[in-house]
Formats: sequence, C-alpha cells, structure tokens
Amino acid sequence: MSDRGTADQDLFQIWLASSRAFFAADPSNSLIAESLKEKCAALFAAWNRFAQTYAEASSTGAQGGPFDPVGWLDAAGSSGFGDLWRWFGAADGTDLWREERDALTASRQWIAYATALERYRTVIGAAWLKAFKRFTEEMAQDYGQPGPTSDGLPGWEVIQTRWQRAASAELAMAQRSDEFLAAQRDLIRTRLDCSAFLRGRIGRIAEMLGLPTRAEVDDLHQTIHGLKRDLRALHTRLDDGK
Amino acid sequence: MSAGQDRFGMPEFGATDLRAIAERAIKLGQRLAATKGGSTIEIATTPKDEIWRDGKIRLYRYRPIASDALPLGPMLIMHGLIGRQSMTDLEPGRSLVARLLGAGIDLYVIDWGNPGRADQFNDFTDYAEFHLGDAIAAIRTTSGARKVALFGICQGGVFAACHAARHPDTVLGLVLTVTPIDFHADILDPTPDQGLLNVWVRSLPAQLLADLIDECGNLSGQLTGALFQQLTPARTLAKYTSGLVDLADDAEALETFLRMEKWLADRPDHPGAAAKEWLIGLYLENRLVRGEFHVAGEAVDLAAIECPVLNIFGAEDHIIPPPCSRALGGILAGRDYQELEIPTGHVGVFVSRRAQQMVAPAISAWLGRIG
Repeated sequence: MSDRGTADQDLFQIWLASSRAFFAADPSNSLIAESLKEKCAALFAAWNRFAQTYAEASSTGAQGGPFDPVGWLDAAGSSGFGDLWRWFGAADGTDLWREERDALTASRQWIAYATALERYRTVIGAAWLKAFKRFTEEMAQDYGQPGPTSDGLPGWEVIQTRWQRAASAELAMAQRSDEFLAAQRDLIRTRLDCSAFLRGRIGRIAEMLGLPTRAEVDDLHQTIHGLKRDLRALHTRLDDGK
Repeated sequence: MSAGQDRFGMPEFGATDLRAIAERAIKLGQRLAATKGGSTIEIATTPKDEIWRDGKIRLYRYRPIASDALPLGPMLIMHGLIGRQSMTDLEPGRSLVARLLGAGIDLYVIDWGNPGRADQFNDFTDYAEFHLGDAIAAIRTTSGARKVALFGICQGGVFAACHAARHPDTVLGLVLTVTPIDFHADILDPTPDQGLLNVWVRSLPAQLLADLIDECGNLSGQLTGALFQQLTPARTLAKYTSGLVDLADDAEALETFLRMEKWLADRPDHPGAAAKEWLIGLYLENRLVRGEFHVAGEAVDLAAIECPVLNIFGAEDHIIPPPCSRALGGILAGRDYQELEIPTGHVGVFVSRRAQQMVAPAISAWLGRIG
C-alpha cells in the first residue's frame, strides 16, 4: 500500500475500495472472485502494517511493550494492553458485552489482589528471615564457641525465649516500616475492590431474579434504626411532659 | 565423629529435650481430646440474674457473695463492642467479678449481645447515651441508689467517660481500665512494641477504613481477631506451638489457657456506624481529646466529668499504649483523679495473678472512699 497515510488510514482506504468494488461488480462476472481475492490480500497486508505500526508506536523497547505481561494489568500504563484496559474500563455507554467486560474486570482485580498479597507476603517473609538471622547470630555468639559440651548448650526454654525475643523485635520494626504499611494498604484496597465488584454483579443478578439486594435490605435496616430513634425521642418528650 | 557430635560434626543438640517435647506433645493431645473440642470448658460462671433487656442487649446483676465487707456500689461493668465482658470472670481463681463481689460491691454487667447486620447503623450515641442511660436507670430502680459507679473496659471506658461527661448527675464515679483517651499520644511517646494498632489505622485513608467497614456493614469480629493476632505474630506463633506444649504437664494452666482461647474466639461483629466513629473519628482524627467527638448531636467535653476517676492501665499494654490512657489526667488536672499502673499487658490487667491482687482491692478501696 501507499506510504502516504497512517496504517489506520490505509485500512480505511482498503475497506472503502473493496466495499465499492463488491457492490459495483456484476454477480455474473467471473472476475469478481479474482477481484475479491486481490482485495482480501490487500486487506491482510494493510492489517499487518497497522499491527506493526501500532506495536512500534506503543512499544518502548523490551519493557512496557504490548507483549510485556506487566503492562497487561496496568490500565495506566503506556502499553497497547493499557489502551485495551482503558477501553474496557471506560464509562458504560452501552450494555454491549457487559458480562464479558465484567468478567475481565473481575479477573484483573483478582490478579491485582493476588499481586498485592504476594507483595505483602514478601515484606513479611523478609522480616521473618531477618529475625531468624538475628536469632542465629545471637545464638552463635553465645553458644557457638569451639568445643561445646552438652552441658553448655541451651535448653528448649532458653531457645524459644531467645527466638521469640529476636522475632518480636524484628517484626515490631518491620510492621511499622513504610514498606509494610504500603503493602498492607494495597492488600486491603485490592481485596475490597474485588469484593465490591463481586457484590455489584451479585446485586444485578438478584435484581434480575426479583430477589432483594443488599442495598435494599440495608435501606430497611436504616429506616428501622431511624424509627427507633424517633420513638425514643417521642417517649422522652412524653416523660418530660409528665 | 567424636562424642557429643552427630555424623555431620555438629553438636548433638538437645536430644533429651526433643524426647521430652515429644512426650509432652502426646500428653497434650490426650488432655485436649478430653475437653471434647473445648465443649467442657466454661467461663463466666459466677451466678447472675437478668434485670433488664432491650433487643440483644442485656443487663445482669451478680448475686452477692456473703462477706463481712460493708456494702458498696452499685457499680456497672461494661466492656466495649470488641470482645466480651466475660473476661472479667474467666475462672474461679481468676475472677475480678468474684473479688469485687467479695469486697461487698453490688455489681452489674452489661452484655451487648451479638450485633448483626440489622445493628449496623448503631453508633456511639446508641451505646454511650441511650443503652447505657437505660441500664443506669434500671440499676437505680433495682438498687434504690441515686447514682451508679461505672467500670468501663477499653472501648467501654470511652462509652463510660462520654456518659459521665454528659450526665454527671447519675454517675457516682468512673473506673476506666485500659481506656484510650488521646489516640495519638503514642506519637510523642513511641515504644516499638506498643501502639502498632494506632500506627496501622493512621496509615489508612478515612475512605479506605469506611470501605472496609461497609464491606460487611459491620466490622467483622473475625477480622479484628486476626488483626490482634497480627500485632504480635511471634508471640502468637509461640503460643500455639512451644507455649502450648509447655502446658501439657500442668492441667490447671492448660484449662486457663483454653478458657482464654474460648474468650478470644468469642469475638462479636462491631456495629458499622460505631466502628466508623471508633476508627475514623477517634483512632484517625483523635476527636475525643480535642473536644470534637459528638454523642447525641453534641461535642463531648471530658473536662465536664465531675465524679472521681480511677484510671487503671497496663504498663505493657501493646494495644492501648499507657500514654493514650494517661492523657485523661491532663484533662482532669486538679480533680479527684487517681492512676493505677498494673505491670501487665492489655488482658493481663483482668486475668493475671499479679493483677488479681491489685485491681479489685484498689477499686473497692476507691469505691469505699467516694461512696
């Protein structure tokens, strides 16, 4: 194809030309099949060029490109998949593919939660490891002298007390660190995102089946709570009147 | 390979100890099996009678114990909505309730029940103003006393303090135990193994805390239980492993352990609206000590507390750091205000053997003085 326009412009031109040819052709003309074949080949070539151009445009080297898995989950990223997520995450203008989009969103949120959970476990795991290192060093210092006898070895109670003390000290520091607090915050946020989205889907299904939704039941509870308050205020006024 | 070394040249480490541990583990298994899954373990067995109820909330009056002590009280024990009041009556040898009764105190306890989704809109006004006010009215009717002493535990202490500030005419005195007043006092006086809960809550945005509570409508008891375990992970791990094995030879200690576990496992859900006020209004925004915490539509002024106050806290409390409790002393400077430091942790104030010798005598002496 020509190099005058962009890949998507090429695509449009191909589509327009082939459509016009299709409708202009005489059905009895034996050249139609040949013409369609040519148009299809051109269309395929144009698509290839479009895909290549798009990949080049959205790729910034090995990382962050459309084939980098990291970008697959990142709606804010610059990869081609980032665009895809932005499309899926766009405001509902239509109910088209709603269930499919929801299923994809739920999967993505679950993966984000699993990622956050792994990050949290990594931070905690590192703290336990550090605690074990500290415990080992302390024990080595006190009991690791050459030629120990069984009399010089610590008993079970001593070992567990020393271990608990070392672990508590390390974990107390780790659980106050910015890294831990950020990991914990992400874990809570992603878990809540998952459950809120799931609740929304279940609510839609409940509505579809004519079952009460959680929002409706909560409204009812709130109304009853308000009525109890009103009743109490009424009783107080009556008592004051007496 | 020489004597005292294994085939890798390492010292033969604690072989005798390991055998002893294995024997204890077997014995422990037998003892645990005898409890039939904990069903034979009982707590809070001191006899009491229900005198008032409103929905799930019940008020009990303990039956008096014959003693030579002069009659004192009445006094109302109230736990918060996190955990249960049964901890004050863990077992006959470790029952703060029994000791207070033995001192001649006319003793009452409020049980907040098991809040469910229908209670998610209950807030501090419901508990600190209405239900507590109703319970005090019922005690006044039953006992014939004009005023009632309040014994608040942790969050229950905040309920009691708010009520005492708003209704000085009905409160004889205030015993606060492990009660936070200034939720940010740990910032100025940080201790690495105390106040972690404060740090965690402050690290979360208000909206995230609200979303966390809204997820189930209430703050799940299961979640708060897990959170408390997570505050001391090494201790928790040791408790259920080496610590438990160590109890195998001591039937009495094992029973106490199982009673504590029963109490810990009985953790009700915390009503959502009150949980938001607790976590966002108090832990995050520290409104109470600033005079910006609202109950029944009005800001609570702690300086308006007129009755004598006995403030009891645990020196090693990892949940409520002592400075958070002691902040009340600054607000009530120059008033009838006493402090009692107990050399234990949060729960130890009520169940440790050492605390048993200190808390009840201090309360009865204080009540004898003010009553």
